[in-house]
Amino acid sequence: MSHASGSCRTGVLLLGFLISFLAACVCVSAHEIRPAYLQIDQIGQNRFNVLWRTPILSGMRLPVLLKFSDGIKPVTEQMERELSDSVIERNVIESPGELAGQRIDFVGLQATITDVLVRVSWLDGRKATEFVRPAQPWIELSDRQAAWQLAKTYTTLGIEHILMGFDHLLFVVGLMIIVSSTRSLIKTITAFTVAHSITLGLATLGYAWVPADPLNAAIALSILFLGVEVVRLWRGQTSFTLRHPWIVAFAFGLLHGFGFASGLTAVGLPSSDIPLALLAFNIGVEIGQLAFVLLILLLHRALRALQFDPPRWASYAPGYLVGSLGAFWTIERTLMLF
Amino acid sequence: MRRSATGVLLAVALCAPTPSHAHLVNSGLGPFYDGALHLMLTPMDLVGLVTLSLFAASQGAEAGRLLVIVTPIAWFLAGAIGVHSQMTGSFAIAIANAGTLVLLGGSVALELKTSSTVAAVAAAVFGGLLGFQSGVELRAADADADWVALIGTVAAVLAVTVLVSALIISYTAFSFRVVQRVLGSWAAATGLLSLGWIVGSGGNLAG
Repeated sequence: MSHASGSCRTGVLLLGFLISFLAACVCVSAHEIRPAYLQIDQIGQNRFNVLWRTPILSGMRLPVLLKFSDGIKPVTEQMERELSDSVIERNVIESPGELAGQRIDFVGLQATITDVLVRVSWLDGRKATEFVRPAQPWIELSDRQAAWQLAKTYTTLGIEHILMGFDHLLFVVGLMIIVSSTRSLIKTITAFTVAHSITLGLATLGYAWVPADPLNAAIALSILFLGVEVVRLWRGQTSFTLRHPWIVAFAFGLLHGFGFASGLTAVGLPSSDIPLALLAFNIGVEIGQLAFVLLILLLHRALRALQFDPPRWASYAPGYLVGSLGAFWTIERTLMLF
Repeated sequence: MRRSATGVLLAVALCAPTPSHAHLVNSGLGPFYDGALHLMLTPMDLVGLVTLSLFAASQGAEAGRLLVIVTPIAWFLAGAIGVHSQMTGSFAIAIANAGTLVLLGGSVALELKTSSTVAAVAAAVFGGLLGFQSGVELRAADADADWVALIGTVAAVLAVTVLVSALIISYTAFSFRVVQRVLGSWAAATGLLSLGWIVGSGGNLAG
């Protein structure tokens, strides 16, 4: 991709795709990507601690109720604690027999687009972690799970997180527009990947923490920043970012990594799961990001083969979309700080 | 020969029109991705779209470009009508889809040459037919998010038409043309057998 012609062609490629993408951004902005979390820990022969954590979005709690199989009874009063981003309910239940094989229904989940991460741990050290989806809002508890099944669960969560993270994807689109060659693209995407992996790891392991609201505003600002650089590129000007996009990708990648971490830490991850979950989640994020980049490159190449000669406005549209959405999100998220 | 016949029968079994599904495929990523995945997992729509792309792109780059512009627009407009309609399926639309598949597949198999305008009209008509059916299915699947799902489907339509038509235009070797003709004949056979199936079932398929 040479600077001018490359961005022009990329513009063509992204036009139609981004129009749909933009519409989707607007339409699915309310999608809740933080999963709910159900933790069941055995504390006696037939007794279990239950922790049920549901996300709060725009002040509304998730309208989902737990329904255990007949025979499973609560033996303590339910305690409820409301946090800024979620509601935690705790109680103790008693099962007349083995809990493994019993069914839990998530009443109302089918009307949402939120997943539930269910984790069960037994006194003898066995553990099982699974996702429940709205398409099948119930689970039959299992008493053992292979490590690869756990890894698969968190890899899927990582893929979901990046594909639903429209701001992260738009940042990647911005980077793809400003890079000048395939080599530069590989360098830039690698720098972004390394950087967000570093902060994802640090945040998940508890070494670093950034409050969510300022972080989201800063991520939006990084997209707006790229929009400005795209305009600079069109005008034939140069800048540090245009000469060394990988450095900027690395710097902002550190920010985006904290954003990815929120998808993992929001569920209240048990410490014993962290190493495998972190690795699998990061792999999932990279798979999703790589698939997105490859799709864009394939479409770019295909449009070149079709010899599209777009009007000027059409080639500029992707850059304006990056800048406009970046500006919109920056204003929206900054206002949320006050 | 027997393998080819088995393949065609298998393709027909996969592509046979069915009543609208009660649930849209759940990707876990929200209605936009559900809509995109709906196209990829609906063989009749996907086979039709690929055949349309083969037909248009084999007429040249200009027809390929028209296809990429016209098909998603037609799909979206007809899909919007489908989303708004009260239909749960249509015998006439199923017949028209299968018939158009026969015509387009046959044209690809015979390497028929036509003008870009005819290719664009075919894209508008077949894209519209498929889009309408898709819209009806999306509405039946999820009344709350059908519009977002339709946008997702149209994004997938755009991606498929761009990729397939670019592939056809880029590779002009004799062996690749043979592959194209074989695919066209398979699509035509699939459409023909689907027609027989639909007529034989006397409208029950359309719900």
